[in-house]
Amino acid sequence: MKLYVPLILLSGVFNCMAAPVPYSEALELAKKDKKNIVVVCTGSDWLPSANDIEKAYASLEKDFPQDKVIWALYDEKEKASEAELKAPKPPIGVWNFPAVQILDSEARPVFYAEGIKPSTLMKLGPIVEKYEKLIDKRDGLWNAAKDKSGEEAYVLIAKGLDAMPEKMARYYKPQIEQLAKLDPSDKTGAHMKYTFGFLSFIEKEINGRIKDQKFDEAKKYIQDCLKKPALTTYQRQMLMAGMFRLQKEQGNLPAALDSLKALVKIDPKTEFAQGAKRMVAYYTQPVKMKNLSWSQGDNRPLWIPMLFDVSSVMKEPGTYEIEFKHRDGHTKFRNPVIKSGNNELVKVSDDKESNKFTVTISKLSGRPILQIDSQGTGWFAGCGDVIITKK
Amino acid sequence: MRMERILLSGALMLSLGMLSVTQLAEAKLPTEVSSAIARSDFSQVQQKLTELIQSGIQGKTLNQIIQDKELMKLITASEVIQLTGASQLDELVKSKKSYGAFLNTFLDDVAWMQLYLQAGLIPHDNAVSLRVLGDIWQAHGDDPDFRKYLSLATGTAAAWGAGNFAPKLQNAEKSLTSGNKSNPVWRYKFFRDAHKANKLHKNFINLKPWEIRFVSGGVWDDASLKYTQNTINIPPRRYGDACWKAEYCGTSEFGDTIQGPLFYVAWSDSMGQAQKTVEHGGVCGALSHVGHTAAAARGIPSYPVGQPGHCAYGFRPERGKWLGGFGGPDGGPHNYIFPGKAPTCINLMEEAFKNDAKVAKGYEYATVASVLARLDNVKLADEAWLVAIKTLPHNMFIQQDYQKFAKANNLLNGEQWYDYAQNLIRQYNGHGFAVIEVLKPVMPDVLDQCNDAQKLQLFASLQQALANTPTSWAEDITPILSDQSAQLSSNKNAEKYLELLLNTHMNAGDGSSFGKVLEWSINEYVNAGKGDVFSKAFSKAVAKGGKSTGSNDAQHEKRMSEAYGKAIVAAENARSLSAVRSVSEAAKAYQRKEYNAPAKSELDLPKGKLVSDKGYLRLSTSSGWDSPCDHLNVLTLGGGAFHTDNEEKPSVIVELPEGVDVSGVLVVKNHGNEWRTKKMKMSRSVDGATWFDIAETNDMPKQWKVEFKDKTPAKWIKIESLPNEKTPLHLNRILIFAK
Repeated sequence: MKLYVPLILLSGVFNCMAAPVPYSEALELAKKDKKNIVVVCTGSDWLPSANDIEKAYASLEKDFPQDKVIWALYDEKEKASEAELKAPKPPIGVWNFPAVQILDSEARPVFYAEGIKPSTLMKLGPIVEKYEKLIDKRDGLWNAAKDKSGEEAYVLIAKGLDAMPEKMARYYKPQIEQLAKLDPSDKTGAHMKYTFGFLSFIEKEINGRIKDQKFDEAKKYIQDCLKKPALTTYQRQMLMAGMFRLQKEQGNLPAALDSLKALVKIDPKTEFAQGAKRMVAYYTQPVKMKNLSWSQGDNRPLWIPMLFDVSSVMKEPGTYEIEFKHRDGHTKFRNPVIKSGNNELVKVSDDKESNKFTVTISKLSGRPILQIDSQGTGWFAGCGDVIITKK
Repeated sequence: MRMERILLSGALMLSLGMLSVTQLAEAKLPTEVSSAIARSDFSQVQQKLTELIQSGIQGKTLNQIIQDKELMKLITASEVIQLTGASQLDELVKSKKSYGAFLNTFLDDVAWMQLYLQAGLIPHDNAVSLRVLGDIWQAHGDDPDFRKYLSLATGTAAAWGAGNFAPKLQNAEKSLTSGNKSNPVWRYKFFRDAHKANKLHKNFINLKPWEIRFVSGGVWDDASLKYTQNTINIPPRRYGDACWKAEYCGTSEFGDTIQGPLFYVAWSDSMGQAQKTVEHGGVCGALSHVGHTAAAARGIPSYPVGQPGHCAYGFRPERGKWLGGFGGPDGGPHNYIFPGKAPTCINLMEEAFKNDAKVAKGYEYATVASVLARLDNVKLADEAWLVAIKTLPHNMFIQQDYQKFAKANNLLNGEQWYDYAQNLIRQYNGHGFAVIEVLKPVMPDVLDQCNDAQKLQLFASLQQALANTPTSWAEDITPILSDQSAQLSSNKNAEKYLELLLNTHMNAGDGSSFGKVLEWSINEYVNAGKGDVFSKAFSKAVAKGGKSTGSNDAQHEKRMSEAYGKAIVAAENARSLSAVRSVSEAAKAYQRKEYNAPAKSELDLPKGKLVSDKGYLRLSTSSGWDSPCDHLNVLTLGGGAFHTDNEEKPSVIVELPEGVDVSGVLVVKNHGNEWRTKKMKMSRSVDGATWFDIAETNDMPKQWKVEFKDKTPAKWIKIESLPNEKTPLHLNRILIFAK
């Protein structure tokens, strides 16, 4: 909402919007006047951009709806007094100053950005307006819920939480707990959406059950959770990661890898999907080496081929000794094959593990590639060089 | 790629490769030296330098040598070559011609060479640091502000070539994945640009090369420095919390344990360790590295530190003030100049390098001494060494180089070595562990000519220095005690040694080694059936110290009680279960007869087996109201007592002899002043540094019983009081039960 005022009054407007109040004061004002708070977190005695931040802040007059919002400054000093250390802090701990938080009149967060530049502050007005509307919408839903009960109330409370960014909604514990009370079975998963933690899921629900050999119970848990419509993409993908873990521990790697592929299908663009793709490749793809050495990251937990381009050292038929000379740790090797294109020039398949192999190539054409099954041991510290000598 | 400059005429200039016009005009190394550098014949360079120095010092006093700028340049260059190794430099120049150009510049720049030598740790017999310095010079030597960042370049190079992290850093240069790569030239530019962009701590630009090691010499990849700089920017005092930007978790999203190689495999190799840890979690090692890297990325010196079963870190917003993160800064630092444990080796480093002018002078004289010694000018060398060690007595490397020189030239007899040792011990008061390390090469010579009385005198001085050394549980004095005790030829003198030990550590310093002294004494005497010897020595030590007033017997009893109390607290702080239990046993007579608390029959005990009675406790603070002789009883059904000082968050930690699966904890208040213990928190740990909250109460009842159905592993249980204002914590019982 823009303010259109005669020029003569502009100076008055500017004066009203002069300095932001300290955060502790803003809390009192917000409660009293039922206003939202925009707090900028800075560090006046250590943050190089602190001066620029305050200047940018002070020049926001034209765009911010100052009748509905309290502008506050939280100054986290390097040399803070005892009183300053004890003063109330904004709800979200800051890791990257400067930061800005938009809070409702009860100091609950709806927006957070950190590591901001002074120039970003200048564009804060529209964001403040957007989140003011969000707060209004949310409060409207929650006020309506007060007059309802059971499923109706549940839906309204959940919608109110959904109106906010998920990370912010997690701060609203009373509303989240209300969902649990209104529907202990959490049919839609709205409660789970705001309480799901990957660590307790994977450690307690999955690994805990695996340890107790309760595989079917773990599988049912995952399948029941997947039916809940409210869960986020990340949470669904996390459930599939749990299924992967379960099936892998049951010794069913093909099924486990299918679960990872299903994870990817949920949303291939997420980082989690990228991680799942890497895991699939990790467990299935041969490891193509860039030179005649291998390092810790090339080890695998199961027998997987390593591929070495040996064309620089195998140039003619003959008998060759291939040595895997370790610099550290231990990688197991077996079954060397020399290939050229699709042709296997020589193949050993006796499954005998060794660091040294002798192969005889009677005909050599094309670009020879050494394929060798390998498996990491221990902490996968195995690394070393491949030394090929013609006998 | 650096732009080639137009060279002045002359085959020599052409063969040197890239030199700026300005540098050519100023080049002052004698032609025969420069040409030998160009031919990568550093033996010849050294020979030429030696000849020139030999002729230059003729008829000069030490002062005149120091004042002679050109002579000092030759001397310093000779020392650099000697330390690095002529053949190493030959290989370096042969590998790439531009290193020849760099060395011509560097060896002609006495200020730069001295800065390099003052870096604390530089490589001997390898040219890695000079290679790195050459690479940085090659990339940025023409920048107008290169001299402003000379400390950064030199410190980075020193860290790359010498020290605990050097092999890993060199290895990381060869990494094929950006998430594992470390490159010194990149680091130089990263920190230089960050400083120009005002992203670094205000003290960064004043850091000397020895400090830069703790900024740009960290072992995590370059990507991690960039990532943490972009994501963590907090007041410098808060870098102790920076590790918590990451989540503590021991299981990956795919269910793999962090105690194995699969935890991070899903995440791209282009992602550095810091980003992997912040986005996907880790445990103490990874989190501590996030914290220390984040501090370093802001130009704040820091180091990761090993503790038993745990990894923590230290960081330093200003000289001399190391702060801890995740339970640091004490323990075994992974990055250091002087070997040893923190805080002692770190305090020594701060002492040795605290005065920039003295560091410059001390190293200058040490350089001259070293070169003159090689020229067999023993008299002048000795003079120079004595100035060096007088200027920088706490630089253990300079002290030990002097010792080698003095021994090689038979400059001191046994008695003089004894005096040297005693003098050094006096100077190292407050750095007792360091002086023992410094004297190691000469101690056999000193002790060989001593009788037991003289040895006891020497050991008394050493123990005084040790007692006055601020230290922590991380430092173990017991090997020193065993070693010294073994030097004495009779039981009678060994007992005199015990008396001086107990007397010194009970009555001097802050008592931080006292707990370990007790532990050793108990093992050597009480457990060996010589408890009476220990008790007699303890009693004598008490008689010599203490400030209590009263009649003689009562005075002695009060002193004994206080002394036992102090001994118990010292043993608790030294984390020595055996010493705590033994001294508490010996102090039984000084325990209270009864406690103002619920009787045993009134206790509401959790299920399980009582295990706390085998452990010991440690308070956040003690106070005049505390009764350490009653501490152990707190962990038994009969109850006991403790009383911290007034604090904002007083706490008590119970350590069990081994980890258990806790079934329940019962915390019992004393009768009276119960309002002090209302809002309370209970947490558990399996490594002594990472705490997981397990229970909380806003209004603690007289008996606060907490029971656990789920697996609750713990070796430590902490009870914390969270009052609104400073209050002490006092409890009657903390009983821990196991399944």
